[in-house]
Amino acid sequence: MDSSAENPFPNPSQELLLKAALMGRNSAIPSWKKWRETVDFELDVDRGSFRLLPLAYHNLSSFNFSDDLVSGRLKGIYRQAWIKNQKLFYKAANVLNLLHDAEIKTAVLKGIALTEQVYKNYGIRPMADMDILVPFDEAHHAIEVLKGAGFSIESQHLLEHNLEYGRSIAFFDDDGTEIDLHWYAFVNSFGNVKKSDFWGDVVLIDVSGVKTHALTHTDNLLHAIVHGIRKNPEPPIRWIADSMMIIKSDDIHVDWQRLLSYASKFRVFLQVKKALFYLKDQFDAKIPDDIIKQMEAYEPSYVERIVYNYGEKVGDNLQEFTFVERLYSFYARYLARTNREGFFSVHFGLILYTADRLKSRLTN
Amino acid sequence: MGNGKNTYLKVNEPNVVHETIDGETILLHLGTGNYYSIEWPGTMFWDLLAETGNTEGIKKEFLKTDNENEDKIDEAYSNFIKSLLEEELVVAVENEKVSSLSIDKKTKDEFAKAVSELEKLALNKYSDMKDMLLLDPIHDVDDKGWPEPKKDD
Repeated sequence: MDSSAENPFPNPSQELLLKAALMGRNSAIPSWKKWRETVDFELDVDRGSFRLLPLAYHNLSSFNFSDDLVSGRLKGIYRQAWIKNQKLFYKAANVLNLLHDAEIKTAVLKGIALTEQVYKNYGIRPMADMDILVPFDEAHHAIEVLKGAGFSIESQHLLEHNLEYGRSIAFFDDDGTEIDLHWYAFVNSFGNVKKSDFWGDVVLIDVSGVKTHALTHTDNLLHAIVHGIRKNPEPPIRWIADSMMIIKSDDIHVDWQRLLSYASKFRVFLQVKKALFYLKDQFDAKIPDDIIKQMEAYEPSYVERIVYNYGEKVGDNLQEFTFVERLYSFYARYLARTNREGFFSVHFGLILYTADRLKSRLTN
Repeated sequence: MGNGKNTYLKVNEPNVVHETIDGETILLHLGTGNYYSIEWPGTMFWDLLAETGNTEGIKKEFLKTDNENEDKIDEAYSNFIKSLLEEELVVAVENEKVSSLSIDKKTKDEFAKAVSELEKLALNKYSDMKDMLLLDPIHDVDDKGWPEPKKDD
């Protein structure tokens, strides 16, 4: 796999596959044919592209288009994704029931929420895990409930740190299924999060017969972008499919002003701006003119620029080889989390954060 | 088997999930973990059953298609329904009001076609789900795609 495949924005072959999966007939079919010419199916399908294949199968089939790959192995990949997702939903319902029995409020994020609310098909959005959000005040309780039910924490040594500075912790069941328990939707400027943010507007949904919640479509779009615009060993390009499916669905209304307002509040405006301009340019995403103007006029702060550049160039590729790179990573991660304003306040906070991390490292 | 006058068949939900795509019905029994597929003409009968539950009504209409081959049709259809019941993909429910069945011309034509391909009226079962899910659906499968494994050369 070439290294560009790990970037949050797709390389040319990934972009062809995304168009085959998302666009109308006149663009999707030629893009698919060109993708087949460009890519050796046996050798060149990276993990990010692989996860788009069921959607490509579904989109191309909707135009009654087929070829040997579509009717054979793509259909098989769809079947396998359908089965894996059905099993995951079934397990998710059990986890949700456990939390509900302990009177913990829940919402589902990412794949499960998008499958129920947006894709409305269990086979076209493969998932590697389930993402469950609980209110921050309930995080400790939820962790105890899952531990008590026999789920194991992947990185116990990170738990205290994540509860203080992170957004989630991963659990596993006996079969190795991953359950990501979140207490924040994302970590950016989490000091700015009010209790009512996200939770105040959640909608009721049903997961395998269990009632839970999901974020609004607008908040799902924000979440897909913020989570997706980060370099990752597993190419994160599905954020484009998730975002486009939300934006182009006839029965979904995006509250664009709220999207920008939250993006500003959580200092992720630059991510949102880059993402939406890309979607508009490459996928004809319909974004209102006044929103475009507001984004064009926006001047990102120093903190936002560092956080964005770090996410795009390093992100979740944990290859910090040199001391300087480690320092850069530490600094950018702090900046992503802080809600301090002004150069001196931000860096005073950095000293406090460093001292706290050192103290924690020494005591553990 | 649910062949009483007021017995109908219902998909064993929520234990069973199913979807019909491109002329193939895929089914998963979440309780046993077994995976199944049904190809045409079984897909047509599955869809009719899932919609109406009226298995006796469907059989009656199917038998009308070809009077000379009633026995063969009866046997093929009954075996198909028996396999669905044995695998607990459907369950028999006693009910006073069996859903009415109206067969349109398109379905009648499909019935006529199905008579000449009764051997295809079958339930394909895949019980080794754990191993199947480990198959890489690009490299370990034949041209029909997952779950059909690649044949050894």
